[in-house]
Amino acid sequence: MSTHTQRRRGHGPSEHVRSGQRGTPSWRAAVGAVAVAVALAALLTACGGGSSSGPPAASSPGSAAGGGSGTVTNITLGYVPYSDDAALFYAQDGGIFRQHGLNVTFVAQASPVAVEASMASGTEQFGFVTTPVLINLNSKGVQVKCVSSVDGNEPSSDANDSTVLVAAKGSGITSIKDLAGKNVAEVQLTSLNSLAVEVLAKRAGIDPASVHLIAMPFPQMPAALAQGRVQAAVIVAPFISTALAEGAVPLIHPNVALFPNGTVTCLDVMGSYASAHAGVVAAFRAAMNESIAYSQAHQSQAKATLASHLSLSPAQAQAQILSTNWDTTLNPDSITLIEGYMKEFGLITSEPPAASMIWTPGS
Amino acid sequence: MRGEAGAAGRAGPVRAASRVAGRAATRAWLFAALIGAWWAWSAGSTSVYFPPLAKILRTLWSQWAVGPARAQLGSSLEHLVLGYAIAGLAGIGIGALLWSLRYLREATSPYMYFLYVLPAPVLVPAVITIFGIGAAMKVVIIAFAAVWPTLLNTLDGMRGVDPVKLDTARALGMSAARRTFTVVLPAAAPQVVAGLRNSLQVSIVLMVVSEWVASTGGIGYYIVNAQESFDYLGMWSGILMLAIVGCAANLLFVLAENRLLYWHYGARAAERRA
Amino acid sequence: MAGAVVIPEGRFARSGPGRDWALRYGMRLAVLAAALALWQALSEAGLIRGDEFPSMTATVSALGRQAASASLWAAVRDTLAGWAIGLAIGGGCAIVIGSLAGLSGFAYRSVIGVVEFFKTIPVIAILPIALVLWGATLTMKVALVAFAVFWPLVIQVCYGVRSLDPIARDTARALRVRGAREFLMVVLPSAAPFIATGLRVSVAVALIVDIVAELIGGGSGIGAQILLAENSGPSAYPVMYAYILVAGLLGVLLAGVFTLVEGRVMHWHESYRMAAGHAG
Repeated sequence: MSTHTQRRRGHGPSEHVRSGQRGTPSWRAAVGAVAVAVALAALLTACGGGSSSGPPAASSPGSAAGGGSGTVTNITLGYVPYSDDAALFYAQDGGIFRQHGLNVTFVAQASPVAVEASMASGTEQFGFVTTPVLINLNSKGVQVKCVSSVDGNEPSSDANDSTVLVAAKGSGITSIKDLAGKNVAEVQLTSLNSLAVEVLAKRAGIDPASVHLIAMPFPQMPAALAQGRVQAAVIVAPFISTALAEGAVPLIHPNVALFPNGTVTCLDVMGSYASAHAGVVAAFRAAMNESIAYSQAHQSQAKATLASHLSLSPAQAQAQILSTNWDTTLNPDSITLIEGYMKEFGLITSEPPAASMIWTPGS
Repeated sequence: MRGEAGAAGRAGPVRAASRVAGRAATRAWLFAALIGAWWAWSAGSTSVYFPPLAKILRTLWSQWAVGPARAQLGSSLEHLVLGYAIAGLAGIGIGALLWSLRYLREATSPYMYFLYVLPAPVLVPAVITIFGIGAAMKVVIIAFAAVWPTLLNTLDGMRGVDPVKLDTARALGMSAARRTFTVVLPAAAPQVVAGLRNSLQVSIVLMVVSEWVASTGGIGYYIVNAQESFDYLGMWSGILMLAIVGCAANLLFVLAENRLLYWHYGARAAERRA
Repeated sequence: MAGAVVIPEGRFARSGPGRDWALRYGMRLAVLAAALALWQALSEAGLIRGDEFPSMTATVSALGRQAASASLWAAVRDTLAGWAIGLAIGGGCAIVIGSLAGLSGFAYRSVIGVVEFFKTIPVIAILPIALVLWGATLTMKVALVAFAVFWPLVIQVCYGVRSLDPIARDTARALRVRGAREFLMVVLPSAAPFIATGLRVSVAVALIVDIVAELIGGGSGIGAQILLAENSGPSAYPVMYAYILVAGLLGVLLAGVFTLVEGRVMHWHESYRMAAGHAG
């Protein structure tokens, strides 16, 4: 198949015999190389194994009584890195988790979908989830329950919120009505942002299907707006400031308009884990509520955690807006509302009750 | 004598048919066994993540064969064909160019490899900025990633060319271009073809990746949507559809390969029989 | 670092080994400098959008800062762990199974259909299944890397084993070299160039799949650092692109190491001997 074999025809098998004699050094080199590779791999496993490999120990016996017993439970939490995780980071950095008997390992992942899939594997016990993903999973028969807020519910005024539907400069769009037939960028087709655009379109009287929803990551939205590839976008901080600097026109804050004081994100747990480890879950909720309350009163301390957990300088960390009203009571009515919209737009077929998606002690 | 020939002549087509059937059976039995095992293992499954194979196949039929997803397939395949064609031609062309221009090759080889190992999802933002969010972006991503296996295999194959042939061609006063295309490329053909085959696989993978972001249609779009709405049934049907597309493309490739290289395989087959 | 591709030189090359080496590396540095300068020029001219891409100077200084901190080295170590183990498992299985399948015509024809089927499944499509099975862990990355590396390499090894020169095979038979000895001394050396090319591609594929698994699935490493920087906002773009550069550099480094090892292990083979003879 390869021409080198044609050349060998002239030389015959003596080539191989000779190479065998001369080849003793080559075999030695080969063995040496393999040995080095194996040693390297073993070394790397030993080093890397400590941090990210394998499922961590599940809760130790006796911890069902709660954190106060003095035992420490190792848990792993999957999250999506963004600035509203400040209270979560503070619970770790400020020792609040430890005080409640929890040793938490964070795993950064790209989306709630990846987090929920990892929770199904058992390698993560707690995870960050957005309400549409929570509803979707439950409606498909996978029971996951919200345990605590991330940093509070959705604010009721635009000033405290940083998710904005903007129109591109020069697109001529001044209201939702003008979105008919246009391209609107949003982060994921199954996200709350995407659903919000459809709901707002319907309320404005246009056909939601006429709005072309295009999924793209937040970092690419400002450029897409400026180049005219999309005429509108639902952007969050900190990318919103770039878009506004380039002349994008804010139209509305969708979450404030549709779900004030709503629970749009939460930290959840698999139903099966919650039943078996009620004490750990209770400790987690207590820790998070404490951290959120503390963060509300000491926002600069909370924001300071963003410098180490995200790639931000201390000054940039302080400049972040935290989109929250600091209310830690999970709001089942908002979940029912979102569920209704999802059913209306064909995203789900069954509607489990909102109460079943929020963990209560004893459930 | 004539009786023998007559008997052999009547038995010929039958023997040929049974040989073909035998060959087909050899190629198919392991595959059928695995499918059967998967069917049996998943038959009573209630897991959301691993639905029964029977349901997946039903979804495959209802969505892809007769259903709404068929149009998605068409647009994806168009981008695949275009991207692959560009990748193949560019791979051979650039490979031949770099092989003959020693200094250019030496200067750029680490950077070629640098671009080769950059993961496609990381390059997507750059490509979107330059080419927008339509068909051009997808074709460029497919072509950019699929060019490397052909390029590297072309270079490797040309390296293995018999230097006697090369020197003879030089002595005969052939120009560099003529040498490359009439002596070196045919000799490197088997490895170049291996590279093209690898590029085909890469093209199919990139066809899916190019539709992950900012897409409104296609098989990749279907799969990522199914994943994000936890429609695992749809996701599995998409994966199977993808594998079927890959197998079909590969089959076409092998048929074309046999025609293209029949002179080479024929010579080897003759040696094997001897 | 050795070149990624080694080509036999023409008979009439005049420059000696020392000058050759200096010229080669000098040219590479020149290309690098030119590329970096072009990047900076495009940035400053505004042809590369500032709202999506950082300038060259910002990226290089971010790279420097990351290299001085521990996070870059920890990320490289975590990525390499997944790469090495996945490549070892996938590559090892491919060589063993490919050799076995290539030796028997029946085995080859049985296996080839199944391999072709699995070869076209992109890792990104089965990522959720891997997450459901193993979570965002090293095991998940290793499984995906091994999966991605195995299928194309198996075919490549099969080709190599089946490409045995019939004269070498007949001669081995005449010399009564059988079984394991024939395999190790006749078949494997004949297949070695194919395996080498296949492994070179696998080195790159393994790294790409590893980083994509981190980026989209989760787990620590270069991909995770890219994700963190990406989500931190435009001010962190220099860090994000610094890590992308690290990914590319790591790939080039691994390829260079591979070429070095390949040259040593295969120095007896025709094409390498010629290259060594002429390049000096």
